[in-house]
Amino acid sequence: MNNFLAQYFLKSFGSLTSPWIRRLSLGGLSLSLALLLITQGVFGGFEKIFKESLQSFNAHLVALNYGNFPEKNLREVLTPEFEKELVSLNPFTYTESLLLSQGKIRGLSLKGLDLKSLDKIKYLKLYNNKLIEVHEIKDIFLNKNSDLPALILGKDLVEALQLKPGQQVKLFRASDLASLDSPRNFQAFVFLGAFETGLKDFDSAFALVDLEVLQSLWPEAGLSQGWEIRLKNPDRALYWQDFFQENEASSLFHWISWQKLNEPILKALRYDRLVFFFIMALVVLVALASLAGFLALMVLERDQDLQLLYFLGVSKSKINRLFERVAFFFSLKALFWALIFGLGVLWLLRYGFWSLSKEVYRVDHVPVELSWSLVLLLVTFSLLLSWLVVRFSLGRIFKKLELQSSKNLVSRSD
Amino acid sequence: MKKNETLLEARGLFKTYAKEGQPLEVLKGVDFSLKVGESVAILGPSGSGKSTLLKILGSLEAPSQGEVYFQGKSLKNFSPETLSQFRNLHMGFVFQFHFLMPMLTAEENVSLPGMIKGLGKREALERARYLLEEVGLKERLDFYPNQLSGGERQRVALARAIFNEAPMILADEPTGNLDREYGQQVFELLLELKTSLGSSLLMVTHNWDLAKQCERRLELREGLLKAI
Repeated sequence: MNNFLAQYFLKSFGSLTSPWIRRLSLGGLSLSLALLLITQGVFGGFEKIFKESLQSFNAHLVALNYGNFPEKNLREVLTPEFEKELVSLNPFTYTESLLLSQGKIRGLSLKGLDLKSLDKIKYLKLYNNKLIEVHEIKDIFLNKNSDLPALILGKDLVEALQLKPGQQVKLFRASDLASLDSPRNFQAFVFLGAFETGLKDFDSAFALVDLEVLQSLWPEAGLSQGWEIRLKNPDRALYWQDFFQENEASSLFHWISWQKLNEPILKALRYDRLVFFFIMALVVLVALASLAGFLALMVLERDQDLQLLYFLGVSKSKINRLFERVAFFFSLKALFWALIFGLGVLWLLRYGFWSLSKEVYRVDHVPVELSWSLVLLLVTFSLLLSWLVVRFSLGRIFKKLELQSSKNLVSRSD
Repeated sequence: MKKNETLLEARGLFKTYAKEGQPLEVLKGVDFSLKVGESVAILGPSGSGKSTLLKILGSLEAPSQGEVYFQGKSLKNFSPETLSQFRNLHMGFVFQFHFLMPMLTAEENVSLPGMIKGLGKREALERARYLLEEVGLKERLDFYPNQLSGGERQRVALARAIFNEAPMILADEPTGNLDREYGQQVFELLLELKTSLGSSLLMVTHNWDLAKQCERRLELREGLLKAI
């Protein structure tokens, strides 16, 4: 009975006033739910791109070597369980320098990397004259046609300096072992190619060189400042950071995960997403408030039908529940259209319907990341919110509605 | 229940409404009884409280004072849910205006009491078709109320009232909206259905010609019910 009558009221809603009322209400609710879906999908996309960029250039876990210990000491503290998750372990060192090229000077973070283990790094995009894979970087370093040490630079820096592969650049690094104007402070490098992380900080101010070369040129930079560790599952880095921090055996090193290193920006991204979720949830709530208004209108519009049902033996609480069902069907319908519209828009965005400036956003189209679990969560949230609003409003409406003392059905003869 | 046993009984019914802040006493101690299979007409001038009495006897409204008994059981202590169920199974209503749901077909309208009772849609529609055939509307099963004439609509309403074979039919001016000749036909049909089901009929009317065809006639005047 309930489904049959719920369908009846759903079908007849607005027929006495205007069918546009139903369409507007349905459209409003669908649109608000679709917006909720779209914003979450787009925010998820930007978050994913950002995380991927961070994970590709930064290590997932860094073991800082304050005591200048050799790799043997580090290997000793790694557990078998950790070794299973390990992809690569790369010694590195950073040093500051100035880059001089064609009369231009740029500040530079010089990062020394162990070429022997570079081929295990997967994500970094590299450019020579063409796009090159990370594993090719070693060959490029080894097969250079120059006796000079080599470097590769961030893409933005290369574009700013208009460098071509094979060109020479000079680096200045003030050494403790030489006077400021000593030629030892200057070193010529051959430029081999560019890398791109998608992050302005790295692409505009970083250079990669062979760790051994860096140590031989400037030995005071140290054996290595630490090791960059890549994991099969980067999201587990925080767990391993805490694990090693708490383990006394590994206290020779200072452990930092990529999550900890980028905590403020990751927190800001999560906060942004949450704020937008609440804003969109408020929009949904407004649409639901209008649905509640339309339900009230439907109850008034169908007053006579409701009295008839009451006379025929449907109690007031059952009529209330009947309208809850009507609203549920209505919400389901709105949700269906919201999914069609929202997923459709996200599909168009994913396939480049709306192009973005790559310089600003690091991608040329709006990124989208939407898991089925998130869709399910949003669907559940929407239905729950709808149920709460409808239940509350119908409760108020039916509390006021006097079905039994209606004058419409039986008193015309009186 | 056997014929001539009391089906419905009301004792000392009072009903008071507030009108412009002043109490308005509509019923002033009405006693009433209806036997199984009996037909009773209640007459009275407009505003005398006939419909109020019908609503109280039909369990739609509670009296200010007094009690209504159905088959010896007081309706006073029934919960709203039980009372609704009671109405569905034991009362059939016929109104002056047909009051059919406009967007349901004739057979769907008739099947409503069955579906409320808990019958499946198919089963309820099957019985609705049978009843519509009984009231001469075999050809109008899937017609909407606005496609039916006034008399046809009232026949649909009659079929709906007897769907659950209720032991009591309450009618409020059942032919008030029809012309004399068609009104008589519909009323005869009502009596025929009542007799075939063995139900009792309680009718509120202004129409003396219809009232004459009932076994008993009562008049409600100044809040009291008197035999005429």
